[in-house]
Amino acid sequence: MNQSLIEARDVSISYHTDHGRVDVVKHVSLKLGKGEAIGIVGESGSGKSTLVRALGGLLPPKVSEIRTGSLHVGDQDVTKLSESGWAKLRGQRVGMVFQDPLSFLNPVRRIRVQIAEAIRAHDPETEIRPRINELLGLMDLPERTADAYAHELSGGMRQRVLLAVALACRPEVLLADEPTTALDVTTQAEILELIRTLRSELGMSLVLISHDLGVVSETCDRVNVMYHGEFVETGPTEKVLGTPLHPYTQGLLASSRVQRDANGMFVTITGEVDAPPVHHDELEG
Amino acid sequence: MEQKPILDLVNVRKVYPSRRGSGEVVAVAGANISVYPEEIVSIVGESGSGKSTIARMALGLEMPTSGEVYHDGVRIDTLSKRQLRENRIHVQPVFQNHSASFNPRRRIADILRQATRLPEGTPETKEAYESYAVEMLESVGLRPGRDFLTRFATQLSGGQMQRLAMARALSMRPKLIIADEPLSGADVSIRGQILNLLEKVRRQSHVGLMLISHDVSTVRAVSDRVVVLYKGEIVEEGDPMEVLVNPKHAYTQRLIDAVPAITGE
Repeated sequence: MNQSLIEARDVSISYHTDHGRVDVVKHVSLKLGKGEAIGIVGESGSGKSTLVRALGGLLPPKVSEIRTGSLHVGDQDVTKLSESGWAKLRGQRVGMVFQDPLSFLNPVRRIRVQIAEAIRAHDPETEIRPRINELLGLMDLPERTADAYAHELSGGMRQRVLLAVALACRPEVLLADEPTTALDVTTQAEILELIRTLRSELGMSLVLISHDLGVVSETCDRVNVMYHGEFVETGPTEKVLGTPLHPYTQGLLASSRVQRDANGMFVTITGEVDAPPVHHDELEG
Repeated sequence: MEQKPILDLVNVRKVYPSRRGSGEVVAVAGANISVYPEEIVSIVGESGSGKSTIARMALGLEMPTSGEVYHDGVRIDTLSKRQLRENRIHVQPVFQNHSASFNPRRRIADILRQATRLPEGTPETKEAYESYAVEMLESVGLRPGRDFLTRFATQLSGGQMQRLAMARALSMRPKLIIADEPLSGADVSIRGQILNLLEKVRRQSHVGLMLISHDVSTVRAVSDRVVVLYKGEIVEEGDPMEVLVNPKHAYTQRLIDAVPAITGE
């Protein structure tokens, strides 16, 4: 059987707040194979970021809890993994990039130092300088970027630097949470192109989170549509976005295309979209 | 259109001194843009193209290095600060970051009252302000308006906050609203609601709208006219179905190509 790099089985995640327990992710399952790219789409509050944080071991301690199911990275059960355990996995097995690179880059240290830290964390033997240049080259950044500070770079360049940090230790999986949301549409296209190139050159797998159906459509083989903490529709990208069966996916598509209805009003998602989840793979089977 | 434009930017140019000492940065290199009543004019372009500089000059928040800015026929770039304040009521902004633009410690009734210009002849009583606020809230779909008066802006959802921003702009009874990326950060399910609201507002209140956006599909769907800005220059303008479907300029083509397509389109 094909070994999964990441496997979530029936995972539910809750936060404990002053107002009681909030169930953010509900009974979600997913499998990521080698070289595969899967997308998770949904709107604010759907639970997509919480899920991807769990995959990277970044759930806030104490207030969050994986209540049901299990999570595996490779053959290791990480459902209850400690922070020191995650520190070994992160970087080598999974790398992460986020929407806002500026808040993940140290403003007072040169880019060189930050990439070097990431390399040393897992690969103390590696010669730092050539590896930094190699990484910058991979991201299509000039070598002098290493001497810059984060604030001197454009948004697109910062995201490239964050990718260099995330990929410094050659992880098998890249977790990307809205990596292009803060960027111009033309810069977004460049970063998505870079992610596609990195995937094919490094054989890296990808979990991409986005609220933008177009971004996921152009980048991922499979799509999971998340709504109120559940996967309401899953399957190959061309099935889920080409012939969506769940009313929420249909609404999401219509509003993404900025369509007008019969009365000339723009389509919004209103009323009842509750329906049983649709898993295209099971329909085939 | 035989009407006068509510906003007229005549050959405006904005030059900033360069941060590296000598030299200068041309943010806007001579642009002509007019907006007429009930018209939606969109400005598209990437960051650094000069979109926001144009918005700030249109609002009178910044003066052009050269060129002229007219609000409803009155030239504003030569006015004193006080005169400008009196004239700016015709043009109101709606910004992108709504949560940051409301005072978190004031109730919605106060937020609106501060930004209200009551209709002529209305006595300035507490009741008059309240019923006007209710009217504004309901016109943007925050119903029943009375229930919102005592709440704080921070208690609203993202979509509701966008509506409140619109209600606040309308309370001044402006002739033009300048919306800088009003949809960025909004979920697509809310996007339709906001667009419907913009269309309703321009019909009911006869306001013109200047929409600053990088969202090509939205601009194509709602605008009467689109202006494409690239490195401070207008490279193309006209009917969005023309400009954003059969562009003539290489940058416009690049912008359209960059929009990720959804499978099945």
